[in-house]
Amino acid sequence: MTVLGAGIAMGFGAVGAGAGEGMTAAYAIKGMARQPKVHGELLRTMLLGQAVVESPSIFALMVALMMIFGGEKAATFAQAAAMLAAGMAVGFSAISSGIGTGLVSATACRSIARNPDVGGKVSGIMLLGQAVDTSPSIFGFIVALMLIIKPQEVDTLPRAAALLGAGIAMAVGTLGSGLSIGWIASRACKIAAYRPALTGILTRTMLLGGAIAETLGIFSFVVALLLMVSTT
Amino acid sequence: MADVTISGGDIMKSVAYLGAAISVGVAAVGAALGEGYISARAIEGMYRRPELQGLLTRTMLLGMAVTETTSIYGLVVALLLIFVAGK
Repeated sequence: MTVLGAGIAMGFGAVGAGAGEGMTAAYAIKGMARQPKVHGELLRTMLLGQAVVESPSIFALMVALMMIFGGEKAATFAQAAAMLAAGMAVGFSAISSGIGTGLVSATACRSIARNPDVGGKVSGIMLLGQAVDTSPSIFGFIVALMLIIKPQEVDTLPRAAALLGAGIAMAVGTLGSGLSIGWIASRACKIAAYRPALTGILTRTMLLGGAIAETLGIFSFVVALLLMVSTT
Repeated sequence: MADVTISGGDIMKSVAYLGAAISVGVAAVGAALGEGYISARAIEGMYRRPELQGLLTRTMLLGMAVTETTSIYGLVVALLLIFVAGK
């Protein structure tokens, strides 16, 4: 079950980052074809954005490696459930964060190609939006680490179900918020190219909208924590 | 696990915990996408009419608060399942 959990973590964890980095590179290349003069700035923005897009899948890689080389054999039913849940939590939460952050950096590359004068402002909005958008995958990562590291002494059917439930809550609960925060931040990056004077209000609205969309991931995080600490 | 007998109460608790996870998780997906849509449209509205940003922010927050309630229903049901049905 440890191996299955590691497989789920890394397999699904790579999906979002792959799609996100591909979108970013595609728009950077399109931008270079349109504005060859700013190819240096586009390359810089692309690499900066892709580095952030990469982080959810690095969380998944860390969890998968810890599970494979951690020496936990998943001897009991509850331990097996914890491993499966950890894989689901970190793997699925990386999908939406990866696609969301990729959308942000892709739009940032497009905006810089459209209006090279606002490059600095757009990169600022991009990094801020991506930072907020990474948090669903950080919640998944925290839950996965807690599930792996904590030894499961109680081995009953309700305990196993509660641990599996913590994984399901994080896996499903983060699917929407990562995508929607990415969408909000990508709109902010797009509009910043047309109206650079609005950068302040755009950043404020993006952070406000992102914070509210974030609460939905926090609900799942709270339920996952409650399920993990319940001692039955 | 093999020598442990599983009672009906154990099965009820297990199903309650799994149900709590599904309840809070699935309820969050739709609300999150809806909130993203509202906020993205508000930002686009500020591009067209920058002078209306106060009204747009107010309407955005109101719309998001109403959208949020659907996922709060999911959270309440999950807490009920954990603390009432799971005990």
